[in-house]
Amino acid sequence: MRKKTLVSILLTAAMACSLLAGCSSPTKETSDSGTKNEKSSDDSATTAGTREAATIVGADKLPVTGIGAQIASDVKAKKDYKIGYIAKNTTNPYMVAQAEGVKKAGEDMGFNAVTQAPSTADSVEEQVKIMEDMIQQEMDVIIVHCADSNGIMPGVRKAQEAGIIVLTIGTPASEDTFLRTGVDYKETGTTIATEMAEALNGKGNIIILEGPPGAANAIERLEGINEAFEKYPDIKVVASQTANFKRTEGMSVTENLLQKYTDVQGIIGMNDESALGAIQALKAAGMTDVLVAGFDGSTDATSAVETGDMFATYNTDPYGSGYIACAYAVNYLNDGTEPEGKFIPFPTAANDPLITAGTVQDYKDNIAWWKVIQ
Amino acid sequence: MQKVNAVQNNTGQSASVLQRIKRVPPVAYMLIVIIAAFSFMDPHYLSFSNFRNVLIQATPLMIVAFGQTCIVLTQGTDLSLGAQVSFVTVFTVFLAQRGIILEVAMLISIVCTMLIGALNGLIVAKGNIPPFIATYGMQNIVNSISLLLTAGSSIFYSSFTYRVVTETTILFIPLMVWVAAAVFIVVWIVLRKTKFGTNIYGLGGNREALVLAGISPVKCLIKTYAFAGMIAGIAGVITLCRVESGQPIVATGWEFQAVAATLLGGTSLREGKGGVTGTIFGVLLIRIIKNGLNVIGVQSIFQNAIIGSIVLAAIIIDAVVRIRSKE
Repeated sequence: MRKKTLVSILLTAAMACSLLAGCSSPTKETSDSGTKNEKSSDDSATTAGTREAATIVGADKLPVTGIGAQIASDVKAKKDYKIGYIAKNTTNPYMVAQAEGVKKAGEDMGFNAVTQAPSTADSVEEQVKIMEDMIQQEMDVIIVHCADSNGIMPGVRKAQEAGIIVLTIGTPASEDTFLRTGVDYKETGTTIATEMAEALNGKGNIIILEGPPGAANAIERLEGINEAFEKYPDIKVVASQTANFKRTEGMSVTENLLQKYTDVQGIIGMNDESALGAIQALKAAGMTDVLVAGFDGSTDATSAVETGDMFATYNTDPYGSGYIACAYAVNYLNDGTEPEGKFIPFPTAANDPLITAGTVQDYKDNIAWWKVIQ
Repeated sequence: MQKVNAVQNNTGQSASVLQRIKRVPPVAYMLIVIIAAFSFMDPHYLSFSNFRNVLIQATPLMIVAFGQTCIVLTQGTDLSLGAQVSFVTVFTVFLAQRGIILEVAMLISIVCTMLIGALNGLIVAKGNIPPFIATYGMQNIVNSISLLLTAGSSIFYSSFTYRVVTETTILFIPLMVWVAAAVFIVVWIVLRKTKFGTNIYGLGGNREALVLAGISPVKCLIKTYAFAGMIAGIAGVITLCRVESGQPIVATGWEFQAVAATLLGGTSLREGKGGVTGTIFGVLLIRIIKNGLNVIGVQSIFQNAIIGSIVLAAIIIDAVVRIRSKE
């Protein structure tokens, strides 16, 4: 009898734990920052290799013109190359738009584009399998948005040993590949924070809604923000807490913080979703003069900038990133043109990625990356 | 004791050649059809290097499925096996980062999954709880532990051992595939030639006979789940060598794929019939379809639907064949 009681207690505990686990698992995400396994291990303490710092290339020297839906290129493939792209998942609009960018490049430049994604979202193990299968297909180039910097390495190594050129977008592999593109997360943080500090005339209290603990992109973004604010002695970050890239958590965390900090001038969410949560909390609290900024330029964030609820967001342009990666790859296959560095961020501040009240109309009508998947 | 022997005979110790051919699961024929179809569609498909590629990719799931087969034979399912695989990748790296020799850390992790398995068996047997629910609880607990150890991220420990396992080749086949072959032989011998194996079949086929023969179903269940846990631990070590880092969610969903492969391979959830040989074909079917779709360049959005349809078709054909053969 005793043993039965013990077992039932154990089971109850098991069920309770599973409930908790269920609660903490991430829900739907709608941005590049919104995926649970962007938590890659590239903070320097645990990373395998070293990587080159970003090389900023002027907008006139890029192999493409424009940004977002307007992106174009005069690069043409000299042969019928095979270029494979591996996304992190098929459910995040950001990833879907990136795959579309690769397909569009295939049409424009005249190569054979194959896009794949793991059926288990964000599974790096499946990404490696897809890479192995692409090696069998004798691809010329593999472009991958890594689900994990270290976990992708066996696949990267095999591809390179087979003579295939590997490019990464966003989350890099832990060692330098032929090229990494996509945004420089740190720079996105600096740009948004500077814009906010200027709008506040260099003075005010700020709340930061961080990404999931361990998420490399969020960590780099936070570094950029803090670095920018250091130049403004009267800007004070009063609270910096995680909202896990989620709208609901952005809302509840902001609600809680507003209880304690009533004198707040700005809130920066580490992605659009958490920033949109903050806006909801501010509305509920009847605070209308707080500037809120996010990252990615998603559909909902664009509307929020349009209505004046959101101050600014950063167009992280997955569509253009996929497109430019192909342009560099085709250039190299054509005549061996090497890129200027191992990490060429795109978009950067030079591509006017900021979406504010002044630019939102143009962004919405002509540029927005999410237009290509609607 | 006689009844136990009857159980053993039921699983087939002596059979004529014709019976043996008949016992080849239909999934094996399906496999041939599918390989032929893919080779027809793409010349890259039917090459030795792609064959090796498929074997490598199938290996971790294959090992997990061998363990799952033992559980399915007892009329159960162990939903914590995938979590155990992820746990091994994480815990091994976690220990190695703290100064324990990697190979020793691997062994410790395998012992841990054996204990997790034993705990599963204890809960299922003593609490008389459906294995589905008990192991689902365990899955969540083990997953949480992995996430806690890594703070949700992946963890890294550099070693040459990974590449020894994945890249050393014996007769052109990597070491990791030979490990799977060794596990297969061990499980096959255990199931077919030992008393423990007979008891596993007995648990699924005729539990009363076991009790009458004076064998404790509780002990036997605990041993079975611990055995499957140990096998999952080996799969975890192989997976670690594949991804070269501790990944807390790497094997999410493998437990279901392993169940599907087991059932495809002809092991029954109801009768305590079947075995690991069929499971090999089940895993290969799933993996070969996936690889083939990638190689011929089918978009990933359509892949799951195609795989689902083929798996359903295989199961329906299997059922029809069985009904016919009974008639």
